[in-house]
Amino acid sequence: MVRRITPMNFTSRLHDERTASWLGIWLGVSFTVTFITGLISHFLQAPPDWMLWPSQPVNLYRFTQGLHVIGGLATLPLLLAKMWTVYPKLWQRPVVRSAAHALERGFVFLLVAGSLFQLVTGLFNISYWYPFPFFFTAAHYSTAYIVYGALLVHVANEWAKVRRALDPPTAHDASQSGPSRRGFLTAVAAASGVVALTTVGETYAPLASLAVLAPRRPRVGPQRLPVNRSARAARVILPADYRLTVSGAVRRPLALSLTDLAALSQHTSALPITCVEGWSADATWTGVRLHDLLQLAGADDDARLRVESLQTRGGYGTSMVGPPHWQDPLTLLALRLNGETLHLDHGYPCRLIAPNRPGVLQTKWVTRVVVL
Amino acid sequence: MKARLVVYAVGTGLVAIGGYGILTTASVGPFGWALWFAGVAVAHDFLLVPVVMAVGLLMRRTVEPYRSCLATTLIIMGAVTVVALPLVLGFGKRPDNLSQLPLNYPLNLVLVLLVIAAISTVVLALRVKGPVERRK
Repeated sequence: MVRRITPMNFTSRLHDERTASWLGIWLGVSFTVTFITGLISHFLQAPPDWMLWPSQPVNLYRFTQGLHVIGGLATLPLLLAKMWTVYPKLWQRPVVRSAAHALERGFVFLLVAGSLFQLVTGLFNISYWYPFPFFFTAAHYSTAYIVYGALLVHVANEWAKVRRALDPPTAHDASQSGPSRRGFLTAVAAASGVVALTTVGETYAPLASLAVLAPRRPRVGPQRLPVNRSARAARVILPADYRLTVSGAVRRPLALSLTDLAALSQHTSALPITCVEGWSADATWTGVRLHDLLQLAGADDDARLRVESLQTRGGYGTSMVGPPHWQDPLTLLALRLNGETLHLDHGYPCRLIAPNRPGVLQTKWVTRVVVL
Repeated sequence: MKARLVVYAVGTGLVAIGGYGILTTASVGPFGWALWFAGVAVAHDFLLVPVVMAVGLLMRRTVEPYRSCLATTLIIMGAVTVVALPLVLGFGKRPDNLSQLPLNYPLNLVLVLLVIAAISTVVLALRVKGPVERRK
């Protein structure tokens, strides 16, 4: 005999409205934070003309992107718990009651599938595992709008339930037997907490020793700094007669050898590499201030720069630098890292390092600065 | 009601922006995207949840306080395992970049699970012992 599954088959009291509402409130906060921090990161990498991102505070992007990635990981237990709680609704009969109900369920499908899609692809991406047939960044970005839009519609539909959940439980509710709601929500929160605790050290160094399930360790890598793309992966070809050129809208174009660069006034900045994948690591850089170099070449104060790499493969071979960043005295074309000549994988002979900027825009193997 | 209509409009607008992006971004490809979009939902609804439900059924014979303690432990262990799984599988390791996935993740996951089990055991022992002491 084939028995038809209906919501009545699910007997745990934890499938109730109040549990779902509380998990929904937590998820609403978490999705809002990840949506906003994700948009910040997206527009930093593909900045529209109107966008002015400051070079200070130095650790602002480190904070927003750490929040995006570690917060996203910690959201996974909440999402799984929420979907388990409301799972009986998947089997509701009739499947659709009306056109409005069909529309409502359609938006719920977008929300459920999209939320899972975002968390799964995000998790795969920070694990450097790409089994999907699309470019992660572009798909994750567009899907974020679908998820957040569907979330707004869902919240509008469920608002009355959320309001009820915020009221104290009724006497009838409190007298119900079965597993405790508080116990379940505590377990889910603890699961989120353990996920955060075992990963957050990849960006917050004091907890690095606890980051046993994070894809990065702040001090592990050549010269005690992690590498995102190696020189081999970027197919860097170092010419024997390496020159750093400063050209474009300048009064005195420059072509400097490594010796020339080393002869210029050297400065040291303590700046982190802050990766879009959520990890970050402090380092000490020594080299020429970008501002000094542009004064030497004679560039206008409001100029924008394009910094170009020797790399021949992979994205981010060039990056744009606006006035707030190139005028910041912390911004260097670095020749040395943590007291040693730059490792090839860190961008030898010369790399850009600026405050409050994603790691992919800290162009390595710099050979040209074009003033626009 | 008016506020709700505004939220509906904004929400639908955001969905439309996202859908337009999926359809028009060259590096996405709507078919592969749609396969994954629906695929993760199907895998969740018809694979992951039934497994969780089956574990719930197996736990029916347990009694309090063991039952809630076991449930809490399994929720935490399950969540940590799901998040750590791509690292444990280690497909992202690269020979030219040893700073990428530099740790022994299978071992670390086992250690984390053992710590969770140890804490749960202590919590359970305190709970079982608690009422007895009060009776004295």
